Amino acid sequence: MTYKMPGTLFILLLFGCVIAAHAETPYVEPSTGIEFISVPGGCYQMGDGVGDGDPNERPVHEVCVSDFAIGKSEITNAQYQKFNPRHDSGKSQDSTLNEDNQPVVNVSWEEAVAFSKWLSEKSGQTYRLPTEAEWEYTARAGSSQSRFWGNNPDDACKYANVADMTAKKKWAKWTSFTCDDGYAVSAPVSSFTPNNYGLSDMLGNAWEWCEDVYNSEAYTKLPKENPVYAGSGEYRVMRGGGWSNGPLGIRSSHRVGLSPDFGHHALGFRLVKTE
Amino acid sequence: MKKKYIIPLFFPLCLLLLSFTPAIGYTTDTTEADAKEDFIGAETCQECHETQYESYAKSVHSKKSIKGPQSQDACETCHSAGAMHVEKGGGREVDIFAFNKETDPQAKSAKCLACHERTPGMDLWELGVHKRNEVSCDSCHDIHAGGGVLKPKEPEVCFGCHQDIKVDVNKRSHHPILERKVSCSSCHSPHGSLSKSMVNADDPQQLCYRCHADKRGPSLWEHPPVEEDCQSCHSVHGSIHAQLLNERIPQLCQNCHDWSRHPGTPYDDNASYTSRWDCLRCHAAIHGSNSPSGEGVFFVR
Repeated sequence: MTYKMPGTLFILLLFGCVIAAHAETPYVEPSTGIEFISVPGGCYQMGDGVGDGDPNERPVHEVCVSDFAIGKSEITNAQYQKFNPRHDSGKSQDSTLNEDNQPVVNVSWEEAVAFSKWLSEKSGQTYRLPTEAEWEYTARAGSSQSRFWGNNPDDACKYANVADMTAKKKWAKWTSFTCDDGYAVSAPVSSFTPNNYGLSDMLGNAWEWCEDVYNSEAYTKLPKENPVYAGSGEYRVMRGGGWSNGPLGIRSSHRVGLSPDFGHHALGFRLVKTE
Repeated sequence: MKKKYIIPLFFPLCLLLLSFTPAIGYTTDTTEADAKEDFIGAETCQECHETQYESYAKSVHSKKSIKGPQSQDACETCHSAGAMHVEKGGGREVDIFAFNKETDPQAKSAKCLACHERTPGMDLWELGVHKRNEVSCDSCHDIHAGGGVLKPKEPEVCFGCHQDIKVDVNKRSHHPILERKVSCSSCHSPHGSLSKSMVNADDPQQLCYRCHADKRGPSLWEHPPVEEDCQSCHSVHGSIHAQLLNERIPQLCQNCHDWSRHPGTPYDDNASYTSRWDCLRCHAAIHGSNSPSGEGVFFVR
């Protein structure tokens, strides 16, 4: 007994160190510099369990996802311009959205998918948009509240670039958070405190396209394991909210359907990497 | 209270009451202002819906000089207040009034009728076939259309639903609709009419006479179908027979007239009433004759 216990502890410590080392060392895609963080698979309660969401976020249901790696941050303008050098994210009210380290915006779902295919072919790896289930799993990072930092919207400005008091000076009529994150428009990616998986801007800064076709009743139709809605429908899903959204839009379970050929000033994407 | 105090107190009391009037007005304004707080303004809509906004900006709806959206709440005049839509990040039908196929057509039309109820020609909308069949304004009108042109492109818009008419006007004998000499709305009132098929006249006969006045009469010798209904003999949109006729002559005539006098079979090897000798060769004044002789009753030359 006195001999076995240190051995067991040693194995556990070693296992923990391996996980920690694995979690702390993101994979960096060499040609673009996109960082991917491995996320262990698991099960969680998907949907609005707090009661501040829309009907399309219910019923809350258990979903399980397999292991995957997801971009530490949203794809930046500089990264996207390696694929399409002519892309211009534009500006909003004279504030540029096109700095190298700002998230790429004004990209359609089709363009986001084209980027993932380009990167897959170029690298020999498999990159794609996250499914809704994967996206919410990583956005929650173990939390069951409205936002990964809790339910209180006033804490937002530490964790996310949202419609805040700075934005309010330009867009007085917007419904904004009452805090100040210092950015009127999109911020350089990873400017805010990441969630428990080490992922930045899962909420706020730019909306993120997901793989799924949008269906308001998808949660009643999909299997528990690795669900992805691929049925018929005009729209694709975007998640996470952006710099121009108030509290109702900045929630882990919030989901919106948009036309796949549509892009706007606060809509970008991040990729997942699968084996 | 003694009467002598009543009169001196009456005027100060009235003044006091009047002094409250602006306050009452102010309260109402405040309520309206509060309601407007949910309105975010067209410039915000433009951030995401640039194409629609640019188109709208060129349309008559954006003119401040008319009592239209621009002089009220711009986009939100028709789409309702957009604050929650923006807060949630948009999305079709997310806390916004969208003119989608799924949206209740009556609700869509009600948005337009809020301003256009008294527009000339709209008086009979409630009674019209289009309304009864759940056709809404946006079924035909592009309310964002640029260049100030909101009128539907005819006949293409009409053919979107009326495919049978599209077939008819493509027949060899047809009203010059495809040639754009007449349009659907030359004869029909799509916003409602009391008459059958929503034509522009109380009596379809009178409608035909607007262009075909020479057929109106009165004639000394009237052909009864001409007085009753042009469609007894003509297919108004188009026909495979000449002159938009419902049938080939002499069969058309023989629907009413005893064929035994002029049989539709050849008299001999070289002639028949089905080809060289059709009825109209002799009865040329078929829409009515003013011949002073008794022969006029036969509508002959």
